[in-house]
Amino acid sequence: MPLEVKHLSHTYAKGEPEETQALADVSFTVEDGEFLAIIGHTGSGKSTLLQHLDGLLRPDAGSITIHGTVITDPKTPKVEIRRRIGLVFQYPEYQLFEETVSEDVAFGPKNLGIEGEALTQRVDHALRLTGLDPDTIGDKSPFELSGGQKRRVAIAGVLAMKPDLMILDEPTAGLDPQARQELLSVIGRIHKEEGNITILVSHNMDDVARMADKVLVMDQGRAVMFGTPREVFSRGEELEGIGLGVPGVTALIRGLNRKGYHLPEELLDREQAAEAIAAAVQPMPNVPDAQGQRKG
Amino acid sequence: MADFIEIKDLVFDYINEETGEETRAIDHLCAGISEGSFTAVLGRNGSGKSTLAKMINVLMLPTAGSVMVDGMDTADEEHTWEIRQACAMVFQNPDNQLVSSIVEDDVAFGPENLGMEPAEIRQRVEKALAAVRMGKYRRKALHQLSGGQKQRIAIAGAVAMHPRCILFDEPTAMLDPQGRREVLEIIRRLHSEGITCILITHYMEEAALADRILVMDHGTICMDGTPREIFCQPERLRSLGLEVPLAVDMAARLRAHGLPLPEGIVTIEELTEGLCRWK
Repeated sequence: MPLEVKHLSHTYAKGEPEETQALADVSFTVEDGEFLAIIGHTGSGKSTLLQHLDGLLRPDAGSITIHGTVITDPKTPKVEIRRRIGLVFQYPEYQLFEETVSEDVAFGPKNLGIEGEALTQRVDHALRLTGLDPDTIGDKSPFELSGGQKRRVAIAGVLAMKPDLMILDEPTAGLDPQARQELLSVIGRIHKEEGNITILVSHNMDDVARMADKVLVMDQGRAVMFGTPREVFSRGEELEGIGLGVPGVTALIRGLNRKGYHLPEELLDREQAAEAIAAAVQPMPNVPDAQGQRKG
Repeated sequence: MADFIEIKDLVFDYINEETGEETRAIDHLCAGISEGSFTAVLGRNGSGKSTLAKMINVLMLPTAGSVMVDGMDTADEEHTWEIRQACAMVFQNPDNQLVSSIVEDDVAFGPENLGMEPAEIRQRVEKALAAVRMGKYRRKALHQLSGGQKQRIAIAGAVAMHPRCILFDEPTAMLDPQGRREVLEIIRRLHSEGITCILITHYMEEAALADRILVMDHGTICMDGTPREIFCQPERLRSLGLEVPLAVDMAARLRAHGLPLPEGIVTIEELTEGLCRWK
Protein backbone atom coordinates (compact mmCIF):
# COMPACT_ATOMS: atom_id res chain seq x y z
CA MET A 1 0.00 0.00 0.00
CA PRO A 2 1.56 3.31 -1.06
CA LEU A 3 0.12 5.67 1.60
CA GLU A 4 -1.72 4.15 4.47
CA VAL A 5 -3.05 6.15 7.41
CA LYS A 6 -4.38 3.90 10.17
CA HIS A 7 -6.35 4.89 13.27
CA LEU A 8 -4.45 8.14 13.68
CA SER A 9 -5.25 10.08 16.87
CA HIS A 10 -3.73 13.17 18.40
CA THR A 11 -4.67 15.18 21.47
CA TYR A 12 -3.29 18.62 22.23
CA ALA A 13 -2.61 19.70 25.83
CA LYS A 14 -3.34 16.27 27.24
CA GLY A 15 -4.47 16.34 30.87
CA GLU A 16 -4.84 20.12 30.87
CA PRO A 17 -8.11 22.06 31.00
CA GLU A 18 -7.85 23.04 27.34
CA GLU A 19 -7.31 19.46 26.19
CA THR A 20 -8.50 19.12 22.58
CA GLN A 21 -8.71 16.01 20.48
CA ALA A 22 -7.45 17.26 17.12
CA LEU A 23 -7.48 13.89 15.36
CA ALA A 24 -9.73 10.99 16.26
CA ASP A 25 -9.20 7.60 14.67
CA VAL A 26 -8.46 8.83 11.14
CA SER A 27 -7.92 6.07 8.56
CA PHE A 28 -7.62 6.23 4.77
CA THR A 29 -5.52 4.80 1.94
CA VAL A 30 -4.19 6.52 -1.17
CA GLU A 31 -3.04 4.39 -4.09
CA ASP A 32 0.15 5.09 -5.99
CA GLY A 33 -0.33 7.83 -8.56
CA GLU A 34 -3.58 9.05 -7.02
CA PHE A 35 -4.44 12.70 -6.44
CA LEU A 36 -6.09 13.29 -3.07
CA ALA A 37 -7.74 16.52 -1.93
CA ILE A 38 -8.33 17.23 1.75
CA ILE A 39 -11.09 19.68 2.66
CA GLY A 40 -12.38 20.87 6.01
CA HIS A 41 -13.10 24.18 7.74
CA THR A 42 -10.51 25.91 9.91
CA GLY A 43 -10.02 23.82 13.04
CA SER A 44 -11.31 20.59 11.48
CA GLY A 45 -8.00 18.80 12.05
CA LYS A 46 -6.64 19.26 8.51
CA SER A 47 -3.46 21.04 9.58
CA THR A 48 -2.79 18.59 12.37
CA LEU A 49 -3.13 15.76 9.86
CA LEU A 50 -0.67 17.50 7.51
CA GLN A 51 1.84 17.92 10.33
CA HIS A 52 1.65 14.19 10.98
CA LEU A 53 2.11 13.35 7.30
CA ASP A 54 5.19 15.57 7.26
CA GLY A 55 6.60 13.99 10.42
CA LEU A 56 6.40 17.25 12.39
CA LEU A 57 4.02 15.76 14.95
CA ARG A 58 3.83 12.24 16.37
CA PRO A 59 0.42 10.66 16.97
CA ASP A 60 -0.88 9.39 20.33
CA ALA A 61 -2.06 6.31 18.47
CA GLY A 62 -2.12 4.94 14.95
CA SER A 63 0.37 4.96 12.12
CA ILE A 64 1.28 6.41 8.72
CA THR A 65 3.10 4.23 6.21
CA ILE A 66 4.43 5.31 2.83
CA HIS A 67 5.93 2.73 0.50
CA GLY A 68 6.65 0.52 3.48
CA THR A 69 8.35 3.20 5.60
CA VAL A 70 6.50 3.82 8.85
CA ILE A 71 6.94 7.57 9.25
CA THR A 72 5.23 7.62 12.62
CA ASP A 73 7.84 5.21 14.02
CA PRO A 74 10.27 7.19 16.25
CA LYS A 75 13.09 4.99 14.92
CA THR A 76 12.59 6.20 11.33
CA PRO A 77 15.31 8.83 10.67
CA LYS A 78 13.98 12.33 9.98
CA VAL A 79 16.03 12.58 6.81
CA GLU A 80 14.16 9.54 5.47
CA ILE A 81 10.85 11.35 6.10
CA ARG A 82 12.14 14.55 4.46
CA ARG A 83 13.25 12.58 1.41
CA ARG A 84 9.92 10.83 0.96
CA ILE A 85 7.51 13.61 1.78
CA GLY A 86 7.56 17.09 0.29
CA LEU A 87 5.37 19.75 1.85
CA VAL A 88 4.67 23.03 0.08
CA PHE A 89 3.44 25.39 2.78
CA GLN A 90 0.89 28.19 2.37
CA TYR A 91 2.42 31.24 0.71
CA PRO A 92 5.67 29.33 0.10
CA GLU A 93 7.18 32.31 -1.76
CA TYR A 94 7.91 33.88 1.63
CA GLN A 95 10.36 31.06 2.31
CA LEU A 96 12.63 31.69 -0.66
CA PHE A 97 15.96 32.95 0.65
CA GLU A 98 18.87 32.13 -1.68
CA GLU A 99 20.48 34.64 -4.03
CA THR A 100 19.49 32.86 -7.20
CA VAL A 101 16.55 30.72 -8.26
CA SER A 102 18.81 27.72 -8.98
CA GLU A 103 20.49 27.90 -5.57
CA ASP A 104 17.12 28.06 -3.87
CA VAL A 105 15.85 24.96 -5.67
CA ALA A 106 19.18 23.17 -5.01
CA PHE A 107 19.03 23.72 -1.24
CA GLY A 108 17.01 20.59 -0.41
CA PRO A 109 18.80 18.04 -2.64
CA LYS A 110 22.18 19.44 -1.54
CA ASN A 111 21.23 18.62 2.04
CA LEU A 112 20.57 15.07 0.88
CA GLY A 113 24.20 14.95 -0.27
CA ILE A 114 23.55 15.32 -4.00
CA GLU A 115 26.11 17.42 -5.86
CA GLY A 116 27.73 18.21 -9.20
CA GLU A 117 26.04 17.29 -12.46
CA ALA A 118 23.36 15.21 -10.71
CA LEU A 119 22.37 18.26 -8.66
CA THR A 120 22.21 20.55 -11.71
CA GLN A 121 20.07 18.00 -13.51
CA ARG A 122 17.63 17.72 -10.64
CA VAL A 123 17.32 21.48 -10.32
CA ASP A 124 16.78 22.02 -14.04
CA HIS A 125 14.28 19.18 -14.25
CA ALA A 126 12.32 20.53 -11.27
CA LEU A 127 12.23 24.05 -12.71
CA ARG A 128 11.11 22.79 -16.13
CA LEU A 129 8.32 20.75 -14.54
CA THR A 130 6.94 23.93 -12.99
CA GLY A 131 7.06 25.65 -16.36
CA LEU A 132 10.13 27.79 -15.66
CA ASP A 133 13.13 27.86 -17.98
CA PRO A 134 16.33 27.26 -15.97
CA ASP A 135 18.46 28.97 -18.66
CA THR A 136 16.65 32.28 -18.52
CA ILE A 137 15.54 32.31 -14.90
CA GLY A 138 18.08 30.19 -13.01
CA ASP A 139 20.54 32.97 -12.29
CA LYS A 140 17.95 35.57 -11.39
CA SER A 141 17.19 36.59 -7.84
CA PRO A 142 13.91 34.96 -6.75
CA PHE A 143 12.83 38.39 -5.54
CA GLU A 144 12.76 39.76 -9.10
CA LEU A 145 10.01 37.33 -10.08
CA SER A 146 6.23 37.76 -10.04
CA GLY A 147 4.14 36.25 -7.25
CA GLY A 148 3.05 33.29 -9.38
CA GLN A 149 6.62 32.60 -10.54
CA LYS A 150 7.99 32.75 -6.98
CA ARG A 151 5.43 30.20 -5.94
CA ARG A 152 6.56 27.90 -8.75
CA VAL A 153 10.18 28.23 -7.63
CA ALA A 154 9.11 27.19 -4.13
CA ILE A 155 7.28 24.17 -5.56
CA ALA A 156 10.35 23.31 -7.67
CA GLY A 157 12.42 23.33 -4.46
CA VAL A 158 10.20 20.62 -3.03
CA LEU A 159 10.04 18.69 -6.32
CA ALA A 160 13.84 18.58 -6.50
CA MET A 161 13.75 16.30 -3.44
CA LYS A 162 11.90 13.75 -5.61
CA PRO A 163 9.32 13.04 -2.93
CA ASP A 164 7.04 9.98 -3.05
CA LEU A 165 4.32 12.17 -1.64
CA MET A 166 3.91 15.86 -2.41
CA ILE A 167 1.57 17.89 -0.22
CA LEU A 168 0.38 21.34 -1.32
CA ASP A 169 -1.32 23.50 1.30
CA GLU A 170 -3.59 26.09 -0.37
CA PRO A 171 -1.27 26.54 -3.35
CA THR A 172 -3.53 28.98 -5.23
CA ALA A 173 -4.46 31.32 -2.33
CA GLY A 174 -4.08 34.96 -3.32
CA LEU A 175 -3.41 34.30 -7.02
CA ASP A 176 -5.39 36.00 -9.79
CA PRO A 177 -7.66 33.75 -11.91
CA GLN A 178 -5.14 33.28 -14.72
CA ALA A 179 -2.20 32.56 -12.41
CA ARG A 180 -4.47 30.17 -10.51
CA GLN A 181 -5.44 28.25 -13.65
CA GLU A 182 -1.81 28.08 -14.76
CA LEU A 183 -0.60 26.82 -11.41
CA LEU A 184 -3.31 24.15 -11.30
CA SER A 185 -2.24 23.00 -14.78
CA VAL A 186 1.37 22.87 -13.60
CA ILE A 187 0.38 20.83 -10.55
CA GLY A 188 -1.62 18.45 -12.74
CA ARG A 189 1.32 18.02 -15.11
CA ILE A 190 3.80 17.40 -12.29
CA HIS A 191 1.49 14.79 -10.82
CA LYS A 192 1.17 13.02 -14.17
CA GLU A 193 4.87 13.12 -15.04
CA GLU A 194 6.27 12.23 -11.64
CA GLY A 195 3.58 9.63 -11.02
CA ASN A 196 3.78 10.26 -7.30
CA ILE A 197 1.00 10.77 -4.80
CA THR A 198 -0.20 14.36 -4.60
CA ILE A 199 -2.25 15.78 -1.74
CA LEU A 200 -3.96 19.13 -2.23
CA VAL A 201 -5.38 20.96 0.76
CA SER A 202 -7.84 23.58 -0.41
CA HIS A 203 -10.81 25.74 0.49
CA ASN A 204 -11.65 26.09 -3.18
CA MET A 205 -14.19 23.41 -4.08
CA ASP A 206 -13.90 24.13 -7.82
CA ASP A 207 -10.16 23.41 -7.70
CA VAL A 208 -10.82 20.22 -5.75
CA ALA A 209 -13.47 19.04 -8.21
CA ARG A 210 -11.12 19.69 -11.13
CA MET A 211 -7.97 18.09 -9.75
CA ALA A 212 -8.74 15.26 -7.35
CA ASP A 213 -9.29 11.53 -7.84
CA LYS A 214 -10.38 11.22 -4.21
CA VAL A 215 -11.58 13.69 -1.60
CA LEU A 216 -11.14 13.36 2.16
CA VAL A 217 -13.47 15.50 4.26
CA MET A 218 -12.36 16.36 7.80
CA ASP A 219 -14.64 17.59 10.57
CA GLN A 220 -13.93 17.82 14.30
CA GLY A 221 -10.82 15.71 13.95
CA ARG A 222 -12.58 12.92 12.11
CA ALA A 223 -12.52 11.73 8.52
CA VAL A 224 -16.24 12.10 7.84
CA MET A 225 -16.29 11.42 4.09
CA PHE A 226 -13.89 9.76 1.66
CA GLY A 227 -14.69 9.19 -1.99
CA THR A 228 -14.54 10.53 -5.52
CA PRO A 229 -15.40 14.22 -6.06
CA ARG A 230 -18.74 13.12 -7.55
CA GLU A 231 -19.60 11.06 -4.50
CA VAL A 232 -18.52 13.70 -2.01
CA PHE A 233 -20.02 16.75 -3.72
CA SER A 234 -23.37 15.04 -4.22
CA ARG A 235 -23.72 15.32 -0.42
CA GLY A 236 -24.03 19.10 -0.53
CA GLU A 237 -26.29 19.49 2.47
CA GLU A 238 -23.92 17.62 4.79
CA LEU A 239 -20.97 19.63 3.47
CA GLU A 240 -22.72 22.92 4.16
CA GLY A 241 -23.64 21.63 7.60
CA ILE A 242 -19.94 21.36 8.46
CA GLY A 243 -18.99 24.79 7.15
CA LEU A 244 -17.93 23.72 3.66
CA GLY A 245 -19.50 24.23 0.28
CA VAL A 246 -19.86 22.67 -3.14
CA PRO A 247 -18.35 23.65 -6.51
CA GLY A 248 -20.19 26.43 -8.36
CA VAL A 249 -21.76 24.03 -10.87
CA THR A 250 -23.14 21.87 -8.06
CA ALA A 251 -24.54 24.95 -6.30
CA LEU A 252 -26.38 25.93 -9.50
CA ILE A 253 -27.82 22.44 -10.00
CA ARG A 254 -28.90 22.15 -6.38
CA GLY A 255 -30.60 25.55 -6.62
CA LEU A 256 -32.51 24.41 -9.71
CA ASN A 257 -33.51 21.15 -8.06
CA ARG A 258 -34.91 23.07 -5.10
CA LYS A 259 -37.14 24.86 -7.63
CA GLY A 260 -38.49 21.59 -8.94
CA TYR A 261 -35.98 20.33 -11.49
CA HIS A 262 -34.59 16.79 -11.19
CA LEU A 263 -31.03 17.20 -12.38
CA PRO A 264 -28.18 14.87 -11.40
CA GLU A 265 -26.26 16.57 -8.55
CA GLU A 266 -23.00 14.74 -9.22
CA LEU A 267 -22.28 16.61 -12.48
CA LEU A 268 -19.09 18.63 -12.01
CA ASP A 269 -18.16 19.50 -15.58
CA ARG A 270 -19.63 22.79 -16.80
CA GLU A 271 -20.44 21.59 -20.31
CA GLN A 272 -22.04 18.36 -19.10
CA ALA A 273 -24.10 20.38 -16.64
CA ALA A 274 -25.15 22.80 -19.41
CA GLU A 275 -26.24 19.87 -21.59
CA ALA A 276 -28.27 18.34 -18.77
CA ILE A 277 -29.92 21.64 -17.91
CA ALA A 278 -30.68 22.43 -21.57
CA ALA A 279 -32.20 18.98 -22.05
CA ALA A 280 -34.38 19.40 -18.97
CA VAL A 281 -35.56 22.87 -19.98
CA GLN A 282 -35.71 22.49 -23.77
CA PRO A 283 -39.21 21.03 -24.29
CA MET A 284 -40.83 23.94 -22.50
CA PRO A 285 -39.69 27.28 -23.97
CA ASN A 286 -42.09 29.62 -25.69
CA VAL A 287 -45.00 27.54 -24.49
CA PRO A 288 -46.20 29.52 -21.51
CA ASP A 289 -48.84 27.78 -19.45
CA ALA A 290 -48.84 24.76 -21.74
CA GLN A 291 -51.81 22.56 -20.99
CA GLY A 292 -50.17 19.17 -20.80
CA GLN A 293 -52.51 16.23 -20.94
CA ARG A 294 -52.92 14.64 -17.55
CA LYS A 295 -52.22 10.97 -17.19
CA GLY A 296 -54.70 8.68 -15.58
CA MET B 1 -20.87 67.27 -5.09
CA ALA B 2 -17.29 66.07 -4.86
CA ASP B 3 -16.67 62.33 -4.54
CA PHE B 4 -15.76 60.89 -1.15
CA ILE B 5 -12.46 59.71 -2.59
CA GLU B 6 -10.93 61.63 -5.47
CA ILE B 7 -7.81 60.35 -7.17
CA LYS B 8 -6.18 62.66 -9.70
CA ASP B 9 -3.40 61.70 -12.07
CA LEU B 10 -1.83 59.49 -9.42
CA VAL B 11 1.67 58.11 -9.95
CA PHE B 12 3.65 55.89 -7.63
CA ASP B 13 7.17 54.56 -8.27
CA TYR B 14 8.73 51.85 -6.14
CA ILE B 15 12.45 52.22 -5.72
CA ASN B 16 14.51 49.06 -5.36
CA GLU B 17 16.83 49.87 -2.47
CA GLU B 18 19.69 47.77 -3.77
CA THR B 19 19.74 48.68 -7.43
CA GLY B 20 18.08 52.08 -7.19
CA GLU B 21 15.82 50.96 -10.04
CA GLU B 22 12.36 52.48 -10.27
CA THR B 23 9.24 50.47 -11.03
CA ARG B 24 6.02 52.29 -11.80
CA ALA B 25 3.24 50.70 -9.72
CA ILE B 26 0.56 53.35 -10.31
CA ASP B 27 0.59 55.09 -13.65
CA HIS B 28 -1.46 58.31 -14.04
CA LEU B 29 -4.57 56.88 -12.42
CA CYS B 30 -7.77 58.92 -12.09
CA ALA B 31 -10.87 57.75 -10.23
CA GLY B 32 -13.66 58.92 -7.98
CA ILE B 33 -15.50 56.87 -5.37
CA SER B 34 -18.84 58.29 -4.30
CA GLU B 35 -20.04 58.12 -0.72
CA GLY B 36 -22.22 55.10 0.08
CA SER B 37 -21.12 53.12 -2.98
CA PHE B 38 -19.87 49.51 -3.08
CA THR B 39 -16.94 49.22 -5.49
CA ALA B 40 -15.02 46.06 -6.31
CA VAL B 41 -11.46 46.36 -7.62
CA LEU B 42 -10.21 43.53 -9.86
CA GLY B 43 -6.88 43.02 -11.58
CA ARG B 44 -4.12 40.48 -11.93
CA ASN B 45 -1.33 40.11 -9.36
CA GLY B 46 0.95 43.11 -9.63
CA SER B 47 -1.61 45.36 -11.35
CA GLY B 48 -1.40 47.91 -8.55
CA LYS B 49 -4.58 47.18 -6.55
CA SER B 50 -2.97 46.89 -3.13
CA THR B 51 -0.66 49.83 -3.78
CA LEU B 52 -3.70 51.95 -4.58
CA ALA B 53 -5.38 50.84 -1.34
CA LYS B 54 -2.28 51.71 0.65
CA MET B 55 -2.19 55.16 -0.92
CA ILE B 56 -5.82 55.81 0.02
CA ASN B 57 -5.02 54.67 3.58
CA VAL B 58 -1.91 56.91 3.71
CA LEU B 59 0.45 53.98 4.13
CA MET B 60 2.29 55.38 1.10
CA LEU B 61 2.41 58.83 -0.44
CA PRO B 62 2.08 59.70 -4.13
CA THR B 63 5.15 60.20 -6.30
CA ALA B 64 2.95 62.59 -8.30
CA GLY B 65 -0.74 63.45 -8.45
CA SER B 66 -3.08 63.42 -5.48
CA VAL B 67 -5.50 61.36 -3.40
CA MET B 68 -8.23 63.26 -1.59
CA VAL B 69 -10.33 61.51 1.06
CA ASP B 70 -13.38 63.45 2.20
CA GLY B 71 -11.75 66.64 0.97
CA MET B 72 -8.45 65.97 2.78
CA ASP B 73 -5.20 65.55 0.87
CA THR B 74 -3.29 62.38 1.89
CA ALA B 75 -0.02 64.24 1.30
CA ASP B 76 -0.92 66.63 4.12
CA GLU B 77 0.51 65.06 7.30
CA GLU B 78 -1.93 66.97 9.45
CA HIS B 79 -4.78 64.83 8.10
CA THR B 80 -3.16 61.37 8.23
CA TRP B 81 -5.06 60.16 11.30
CA GLU B 82 -8.33 61.80 10.29
CA ILE B 83 -8.13 60.06 6.90
CA ARG B 84 -7.38 56.68 8.44
CA GLN B 85 -10.32 57.15 10.77
CA ALA B 86 -12.64 58.13 7.91
CA CYS B 87 -11.40 55.30 5.71
CA ALA B 88 -10.45 52.14 7.62
CA MET B 89 -8.66 49.16 6.10
CA VAL B 90 -9.07 45.39 6.51
CA PHE B 91 -6.21 43.22 5.29
CA GLN B 92 -5.99 39.72 3.82
CA ASN B 93 -4.52 38.04 6.88
CA PRO B 94 -6.31 38.93 10.13
CA ASP B 95 -3.32 37.65 12.11
CA ASN B 96 -1.32 40.63 10.83
CA GLN B 97 -3.98 43.07 11.94
CA LEU B 98 -5.06 41.89 15.38
CA VAL B 99 -3.07 43.39 18.26
CA SER B 100 -4.52 42.01 21.52
CA SER B 101 -5.14 38.53 22.84
CA ILE B 102 -8.76 39.09 23.92
CA VAL B 103 -11.51 39.91 21.42
CA GLU B 104 -12.97 43.01 23.11
CA ASP B 105 -9.52 44.48 23.90
CA ASP B 106 -8.63 44.19 20.26
CA VAL B 107 -11.78 45.96 19.07
CA ALA B 108 -11.22 48.67 21.75
CA PHE B 109 -7.66 49.34 20.58
CA GLY B 110 -8.55 51.98 17.98
CA PRO B 111 -11.07 53.96 20.07
CA GLU B 112 -8.67 53.87 23.04
CA ASN B 113 -6.00 55.45 20.88
CA LEU B 114 -8.41 58.24 20.06
CA GLY B 115 -8.48 58.99 23.80
CA MET B 116 -12.19 58.32 24.23
CA GLU B 117 -14.11 58.01 27.50
CA PRO B 118 -14.30 54.41 28.77
CA ALA B 119 -18.10 54.44 28.62
CA GLU B 120 -18.04 55.52 24.98
CA ILE B 121 -15.42 52.88 24.18
CA ARG B 122 -17.53 50.16 25.76
CA GLN B 123 -20.53 51.23 23.74
CA ARG B 124 -18.59 51.32 20.48
CA VAL B 125 -17.04 47.89 21.08
CA GLU B 126 -20.42 46.40 21.85
CA LYS B 127 -22.00 47.84 18.72
CA ALA B 128 -19.08 46.87 16.51
CA LEU B 129 -19.14 43.28 17.77
CA ALA B 130 -22.89 43.14 17.22
CA ALA B 131 -22.40 44.43 13.65
CA VAL B 132 -20.18 41.43 12.85
CA ARG B 133 -22.34 39.04 14.94
CA MET B 134 -19.52 38.26 17.37
CA GLY B 135 -21.05 39.70 20.56
CA LYS B 136 -21.01 36.29 22.25
CA TYR B 137 -17.26 36.02 21.78
CA ARG B 138 -16.22 39.28 23.46
CA ARG B 139 -14.30 37.60 26.29
CA LYS B 140 -12.74 34.89 24.09
CA ALA B 141 -9.06 34.64 23.30
CA LEU B 142 -8.33 35.41 19.65
CA HIS B 143 -6.31 32.23 19.16
CA GLN B 144 -9.44 30.21 19.88
CA LEU B 145 -11.24 31.68 16.89
CA SER B 146 -11.39 30.39 13.32
CA GLY B 147 -9.96 32.40 10.41
CA GLY B 148 -13.39 33.72 9.45
CA GLN B 149 -14.14 34.75 13.03
CA LYS B 150 -10.78 36.52 13.32
CA GLN B 151 -11.49 38.40 10.11
CA ARG B 152 -14.84 39.46 11.57
CA ILE B 153 -13.01 40.80 14.65
CA ALA B 154 -10.63 42.71 12.37
CA ILE B 155 -13.70 44.21 10.67
CA ALA B 156 -15.21 45.04 14.09
CA GLY B 157 -11.96 46.85 14.94
CA ALA B 158 -12.47 48.96 11.83
CA VAL B 159 -16.18 49.51 12.51
CA ALA B 160 -15.45 50.70 16.07
CA MET B 161 -13.62 53.69 14.57
CA HIS B 162 -16.93 54.77 12.98
CA PRO B 163 -15.40 55.02 9.51
CA ARG B 164 -17.41 56.29 6.56
CA CYS B 165 -15.50 54.00 4.24
CA ILE B 166 -13.87 50.57 4.67
CA LEU B 167 -11.25 49.25 2.25
CA PHE B 168 -11.11 45.46 2.16
CA ASP B 169 -7.91 44.06 0.63
CA GLU B 170 -8.68 40.43 -0.33
CA PRO B 171 -10.40 39.78 2.99
CA THR B 172 -11.52 36.25 2.08
CA ALA B 173 -8.36 34.89 0.40
CA MET B 174 -7.39 32.79 3.41
CA LEU B 175 -10.84 31.75 4.60
CA ASP B 176 -12.80 28.51 4.36
CA PRO B 177 -16.14 28.56 2.47
CA GLN B 178 -18.19 29.33 5.58
CA GLY B 179 -15.78 32.11 6.62
CA ARG B 180 -16.08 33.61 3.15
CA ARG B 181 -19.87 33.54 3.22
CA GLU B 182 -19.90 35.25 6.64
CA VAL B 183 -17.44 37.99 5.73
CA LEU B 184 -19.25 38.78 2.45
CA GLU B 185 -22.56 38.92 4.27
CA ILE B 186 -21.08 41.45 6.71
CA ILE B 187 -19.64 43.59 3.92
CA ARG B 188 -23.04 43.68 2.23
CA ARG B 189 -24.72 44.67 5.48
CA LEU B 190 -22.20 47.42 6.25
CA HIS B 191 -22.79 48.78 2.76
CA SER B 192 -26.56 48.71 3.26
CA GLU B 193 -26.03 50.73 6.44
CA GLY B 194 -24.42 53.46 4.39
CA ILE B 195 -20.70 52.69 4.74
CA THR B 196 -18.74 53.15 1.52
CA CYS B 197 -17.15 49.78 0.74
CA ILE B 198 -14.19 49.09 -1.51
CA LEU B 199 -13.44 45.40 -2.02
CA ILE B 200 -10.23 44.24 -3.65
CA THR B 201 -10.67 40.62 -4.70
CA HIS B 202 -9.61 37.84 -7.06
CA TYR B 203 -13.04 36.20 -6.84
CA MET B 204 -15.35 37.23 -9.67
CA GLU B 205 -18.39 36.00 -7.72
CA GLU B 206 -17.56 38.50 -4.97
CA ALA B 207 -17.11 41.36 -7.43
CA ALA B 208 -20.55 40.55 -8.89
CA LEU B 209 -22.08 41.67 -5.56
CA ALA B 210 -20.77 45.23 -5.92
CA ASP B 211 -22.58 48.04 -7.70
CA ARG B 212 -19.46 49.08 -9.60
CA ILE B 213 -16.31 47.28 -10.73
CA LEU B 214 -12.96 48.89 -11.48
CA VAL B 215 -10.48 46.70 -13.35
CA MET B 216 -6.82 47.60 -12.98
CA ASP B 217 -3.88 46.69 -15.20
CA HIS B 218 -0.36 48.10 -15.29
CA GLY B 219 -1.12 50.60 -12.56
CA THR B 220 -4.12 52.19 -14.18
CA ILE B 221 -7.86 51.64 -14.51
CA CYS B 222 -8.73 49.93 -17.78
CA MET B 223 -12.40 49.05 -17.21
CA ASP B 224 -15.05 50.82 -15.15
CA GLY B 225 -18.68 49.81 -15.04
CA THR B 226 -21.46 47.83 -13.39
CA PRO B 227 -20.93 44.06 -12.98
CA ARG B 228 -23.25 43.56 -15.98
CA GLU B 229 -21.22 45.90 -18.15
CA ILE B 230 -17.90 44.37 -17.10
CA PHE B 231 -18.84 40.71 -17.21
CA CYS B 232 -20.35 40.84 -20.70
CA GLN B 233 -16.77 41.19 -22.03
CA PRO B 234 -15.26 37.76 -21.35
CA GLU B 235 -12.50 38.06 -23.98
CA ARG B 236 -11.30 41.40 -22.65
CA LEU B 237 -11.30 40.04 -19.08
CA ARG B 238 -9.29 37.00 -20.09
CA SER B 239 -6.70 39.24 -21.75
CA LEU B 240 -6.40 41.02 -18.40
CA GLY B 241 -5.73 37.77 -16.51
CA LEU B 242 -9.29 37.59 -15.19
CA GLU B 243 -12.34 35.47 -15.93
CA VAL B 244 -16.13 35.76 -15.76
CA PRO B 245 -18.24 34.46 -12.86
CA LEU B 246 -19.61 30.93 -13.21
CA ALA B 247 -23.17 32.18 -13.85
CA VAL B 248 -22.01 34.26 -16.85
CA ASP B 249 -20.13 31.29 -18.31
CA MET B 250 -23.02 28.87 -17.73
CA ALA B 251 -25.55 31.32 -19.22
CA ALA B 252 -23.39 31.58 -22.36
CA ARG B 253 -23.16 27.79 -22.62
CA LEU B 254 -26.94 27.45 -22.18
CA ARG B 255 -27.59 30.08 -24.85
CA ALA B 256 -25.34 28.06 -27.14
CA HIS B 257 -27.66 25.11 -26.43
CA GLY B 258 -30.56 27.21 -27.70
CA LEU B 259 -32.04 28.52 -24.46
CA PRO B 260 -33.18 32.13 -24.96
CA LEU B 261 -31.82 33.43 -21.66
CA PRO B 262 -31.85 37.21 -21.22
CA GLU B 263 -28.54 39.11 -21.36
CA GLY B 264 -27.00 40.56 -18.23
CA ILE B 265 -27.07 37.49 -15.96
CA VAL B 266 -24.13 37.70 -13.51
CA THR B 267 -25.17 35.81 -10.37
CA ILE B 268 -26.30 32.21 -9.75
CA GLU B 269 -29.56 33.61 -8.35
CA GLU B 270 -30.30 35.48 -11.59
CA LEU B 271 -29.47 32.42 -13.68
CA THR B 272 -31.67 30.18 -11.53
CA GLU B 273 -34.50 32.68 -11.83
CA GLY B 274 -34.03 32.88 -15.60
CA LEU B 275 -34.19 29.10 -15.96
CA CYS B 276 -37.16 28.72 -13.65
CA ARG B 277 -39.37 30.83 -15.90
CA TRP B 278 -39.73 27.66 -17.97
CA LYS B 279 -40.56 25.47 -15.04
